[in-house]
Amino acid sequence: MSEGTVAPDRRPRSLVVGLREAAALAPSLRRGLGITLLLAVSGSLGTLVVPLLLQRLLDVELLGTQGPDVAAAARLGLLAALIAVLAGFASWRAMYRLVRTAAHGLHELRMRVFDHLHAIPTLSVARERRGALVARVTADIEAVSQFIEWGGIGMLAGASQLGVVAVLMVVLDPVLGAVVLGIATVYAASLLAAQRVLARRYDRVRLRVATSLATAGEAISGLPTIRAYGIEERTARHVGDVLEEQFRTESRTRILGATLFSTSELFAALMTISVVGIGVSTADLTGVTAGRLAAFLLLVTLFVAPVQLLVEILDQAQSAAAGLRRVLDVLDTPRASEPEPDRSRSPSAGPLSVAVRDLTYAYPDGPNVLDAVSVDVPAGERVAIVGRTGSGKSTLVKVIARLQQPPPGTILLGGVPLEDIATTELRRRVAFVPQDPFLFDATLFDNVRYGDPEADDPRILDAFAALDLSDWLSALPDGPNTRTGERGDRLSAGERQLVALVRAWLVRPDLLILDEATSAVDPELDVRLRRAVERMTSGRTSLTVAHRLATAEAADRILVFADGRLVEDGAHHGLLAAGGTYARLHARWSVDATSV
Amino acid sequence: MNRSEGPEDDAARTAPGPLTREAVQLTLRHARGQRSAAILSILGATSFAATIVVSAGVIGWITDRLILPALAGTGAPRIGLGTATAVLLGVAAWRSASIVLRRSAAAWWQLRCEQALRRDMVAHQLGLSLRWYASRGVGDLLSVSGNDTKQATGLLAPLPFAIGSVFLLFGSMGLVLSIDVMLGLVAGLVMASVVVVDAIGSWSSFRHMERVQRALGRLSSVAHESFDGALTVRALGREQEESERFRAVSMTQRDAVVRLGRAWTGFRAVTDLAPALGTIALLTLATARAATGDVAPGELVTIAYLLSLLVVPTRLIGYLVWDAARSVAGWRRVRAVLDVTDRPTYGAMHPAADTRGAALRVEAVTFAYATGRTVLRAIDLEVAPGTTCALVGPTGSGKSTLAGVLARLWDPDAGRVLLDGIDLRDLAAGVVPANVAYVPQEPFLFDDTVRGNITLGDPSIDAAAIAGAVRTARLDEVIAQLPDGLDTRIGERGTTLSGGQQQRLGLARALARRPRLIVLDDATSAIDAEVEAEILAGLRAESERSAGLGATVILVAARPSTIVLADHVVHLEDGRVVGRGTHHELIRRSASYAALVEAYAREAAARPATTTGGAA
Ligand SMILES: Nc1ncnc2c1ncn2[C@@H]1O[C@H](COP(=O)(O)OP(=O)(O)OP(=O)(O)O)[C@@H](O)[C@H]1O
Ligand SMILES: Nc1ncnc2c1ncn2[C@@H]1O[C@H](COP(=O)(O)OP(=O)(O)OP(=O)(O)O)[C@@H](O)[C@H]1O
Ligand SMILES: [Mg+2]
Ligand SMILES: [Mg+2]
Repeated sequence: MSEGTVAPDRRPRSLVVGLREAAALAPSLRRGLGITLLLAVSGSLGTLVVPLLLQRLLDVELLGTQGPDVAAAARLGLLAALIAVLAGFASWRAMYRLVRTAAHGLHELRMRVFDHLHAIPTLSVARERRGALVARVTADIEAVSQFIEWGGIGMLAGASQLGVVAVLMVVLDPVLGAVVLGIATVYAASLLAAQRVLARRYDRVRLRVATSLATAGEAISGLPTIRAYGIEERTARHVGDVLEEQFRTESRTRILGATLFSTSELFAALMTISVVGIGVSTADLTGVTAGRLAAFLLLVTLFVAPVQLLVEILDQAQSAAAGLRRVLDVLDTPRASEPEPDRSRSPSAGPLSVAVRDLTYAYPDGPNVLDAVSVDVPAGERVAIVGRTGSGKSTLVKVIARLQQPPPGTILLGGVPLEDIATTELRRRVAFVPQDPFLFDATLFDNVRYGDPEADDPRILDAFAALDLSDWLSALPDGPNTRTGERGDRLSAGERQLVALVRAWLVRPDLLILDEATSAVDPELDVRLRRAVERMTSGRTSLTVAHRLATAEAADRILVFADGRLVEDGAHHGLLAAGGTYARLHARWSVDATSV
Repeated sequence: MNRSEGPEDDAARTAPGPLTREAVQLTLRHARGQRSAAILSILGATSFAATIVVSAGVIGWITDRLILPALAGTGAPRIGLGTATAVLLGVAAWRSASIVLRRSAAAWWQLRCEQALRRDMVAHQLGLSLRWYASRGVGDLLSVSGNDTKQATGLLAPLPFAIGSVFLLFGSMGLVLSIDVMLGLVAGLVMASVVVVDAIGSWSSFRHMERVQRALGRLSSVAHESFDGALTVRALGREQEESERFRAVSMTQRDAVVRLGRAWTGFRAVTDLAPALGTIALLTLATARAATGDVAPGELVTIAYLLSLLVVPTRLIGYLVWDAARSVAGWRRVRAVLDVTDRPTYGAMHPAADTRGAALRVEAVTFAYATGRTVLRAIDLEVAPGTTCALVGPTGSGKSTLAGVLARLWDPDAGRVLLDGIDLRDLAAGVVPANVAYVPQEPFLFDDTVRGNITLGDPSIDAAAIAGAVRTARLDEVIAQLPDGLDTRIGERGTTLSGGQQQRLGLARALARRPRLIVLDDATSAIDAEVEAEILAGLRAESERSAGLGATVILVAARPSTIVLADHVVHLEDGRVVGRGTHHELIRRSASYAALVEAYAREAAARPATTTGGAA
């Protein structure tokens, strides 16, 4: 399966297609839409109350055959007011329902995207910058939300008015009505063509918005480094350049939109001209009267007004469509592979054996990082993995933990192909601790609980005790409630690793994978920890990547990697005697051990 | 997650007075920055407003001179179809041009202000102290510079048209008044009440608007953190919990939007209805007066028409009131950041660089983080130019904190740090980074090329400097494998590099600047012993090549093989210096030091049937 980016190639969706897809994903968007539409149309009928009242008052009450009737006029006024209030109420409900629908629907969509981003291959996620990912669940969705709230309401009202007026026009004068509608159709078609141009432009705008956010995000996250190297000004300038780029793209697009859509005025003029021209020149044939033509011209103005509004909204709609595309593109990215529920198999309980069969692995567009690696680790064995930087150790263990996807059939846990194990099962039985563990901005205990949400405080305290860390915990000012800060910034590097280790402990895995998990911990504590981990993993399988070869010395077996290949495999003494890569690494290392 | 967010319901801050003042100030601020765009957009809007009146006139004119004569036979048409067409097209062209001018200039105005605000935000944040920065989340700050700046300029979208339509309003009011003063007054009252209702609505919904912006900030925070920790989420199978966490903030945001929506749609319905009701009332009253002959029947039509003319501008002004309030809600969050003044101060001094390596002196430095925990207590340190000093101590003893103080990431609460005899705080801006290179435990790599990460955009770092640094940091073998060598992009935070490769890049970045003081905070922890030894040997060799003295080096280290390379070792425990001397001296003198650094050797010795063979 490919582990590409979050932007698969496919034909860009139009707003309509996008909204339809979005509605399928977020059913709230569709719920009750019929009633909302009905309310909107009823509400827009209210705009006809005043002209109708005027006509009645003039024709019947004032100039009618019975002469002025004040009481009837008052009754009529009251009735009109009542209708207006009812219509106003209907449009309020329509507006409110639309806002609520949009908020609920977009919340659902946001959840879909968020969940999906946690389900697609990690490499795809890692390839896009955080700021840009965040944009997909915030700024991009906001663009859609703003459109639905402001544009959607205008569109509802405008479209209903358009419909009502169109019907009136055709009823009043079928010929002229047909002319006006004909011109409108031609104009609508040309707008569609213009839309396509704009759509591409707005895609670029959304991309720029995401890039700006990502760049700003990097400038904020990297502040300590920026400060240490005194590059504040240069960074600010860089961010400024990116913002300028965004401004240029966005302003050009908006100006283009304004220009394209200002043509609605010419189109309106064309309608008026045609109505006047055809009306006047064919009067002999059609018998149109002055009053009818005047009334018709009034209708044309009523028809044109919402068109102008709709055209402005269409411009906004393109921006929303571009945002929606970025949102939906995420959902097009295939999930990380997960076995069909009925096909999934569980390795038998107890420690897991690990078998790697002729595993060759490359990152997207990269050279082979692992080259035909084959190894069998029986259940319960404690294995150390060593090798120079960049030799593929982390890649191997990440692939075994299925954090990256190996080719099918190359890895078996407990005899079961990795791709056949359900994710929940896998995460329950395999724990992986990376070198720079990630802590959430929460309390210490909440971070530990990340390993097992069910764990209560006594169990966590036990875990700290088991790892010989109770003293460290009690020395912290707020103990279990110490806040760890963003990414764990309020702890020292070593302390962060301790928390991650306790967290993995809570999982009580059948296979424990430590990728330089104690590289920043002081040697004394490291030794203590390792003893504790040995106790914990006794009888379980463990894979430990380490540069500190003390770990290797204590392991049952050592795998030595060089350039993506497994070059040595054996126990400490045997490898030393063999005098190869390991012996050389160890000679260097044992300077430490014997330097005194 | 529970960051301080300022008072939730500060009645004084949401009172109409200050709100209006703030909205005006914000508008003026935006206008000051972009005078010509502001003027052009208002001109365009005014011109457009004028065309509304003219269009109405033109239709009447054509009706009078062409349609009525031609169809009703009231005499010969006084204009031809050609003339009518030309006039209609002319007006349409005028309208189009006004629209283009208004919308383009308004978009330009708004986007420029948004861009300026964002730029100022980032530039401002880059100058703030790390202490302040640590108190805010990246995701939330990102939302301020993304969402809130956008919101803060939102009022510029309706502003030009609203201003333009004020003229329309005055013109129409004049017309109505000229027909009937009573009528004009009533109409004026109706329209004024519309604006007043909008104002009241926007003031009373202001809290909701602020809540929406805050909710967006939280949403952005959680999303940022969750994507940042995606690998951990995956490794521990906690997708479901993350989803619930995000759902909670997303729902808060949704509910805030709905609550605001209920408020504004309600007010909008009222303000949409008011003119219609007003018109109906006026028409009914006028009918009554027409019945007595005080008002001519034809004037009824005029009244209806003129009132309809008033509605559009009144509505636009009403919308503006709402957008202004929304903008103030965003602007307050932006200003809260822009108003922060917690920034490091700089002096004007420059060190007299007569040695290659810098002399470093730390005098009674005490430091506590914002959490109140004292991490460094009365630290004294003296490092001669060109020598290497190792900082050794257990996990959490304050080594990194001290390293940060030396690089002036933090200023001590008491005591001082002297570089060549000058307090770091008295040095001019840029002097510390020019002299001191700090390599953290986990280097922060930018989404840029390898070269870009080394130079950080500094043009004075030439190819030779890069090559030298790359060689010493043993990055050359890494670069050789990369598809585009030095010009390979490495992804955000350097994700496409292995841990050791990232650290080497961090080292090369520091070395390329030929600093006078290098602070290495355990900067080789992910590098195997062999390569680490090569790197440190390279550093030494370079210093020896440079005729005697090289850069001064501060080294946070744990491995004896690294520590022995230092001329001088400082042993830290719980933020205090508990021992100093050479490695061998300390081993002899201090049991705790020996236990710390010799832990591996002792363990190996204690392990039965294990010999630590190999040459020393
Ligand atoms: N996400 C990625 N995309 C592309 N290349 C990668 C990625 N991650 C690692 N690599 C490359 O794969 C190779 C092996 O990396 P890996 O992290 O497995 O090394 P390692 O043995 O763990 O090294 P270290 O000891 O430094 O941690 C390196 O050359 C690295 O540049
Ligand atoms: N930003 C912070 N806010 C609050 N407390 C902090 C912060 N950073 C570190 N600390 C605390 O200060 C103490 C010293 O941390 P420091 O990072 O200096 O330790 P260290 O000696 O470098 O440890 P390590 O060997 O693990 O890197 C630790 O106990 C840590 O919890
Ligand atoms: Mg690694
Ligand atoms: Mg540290």
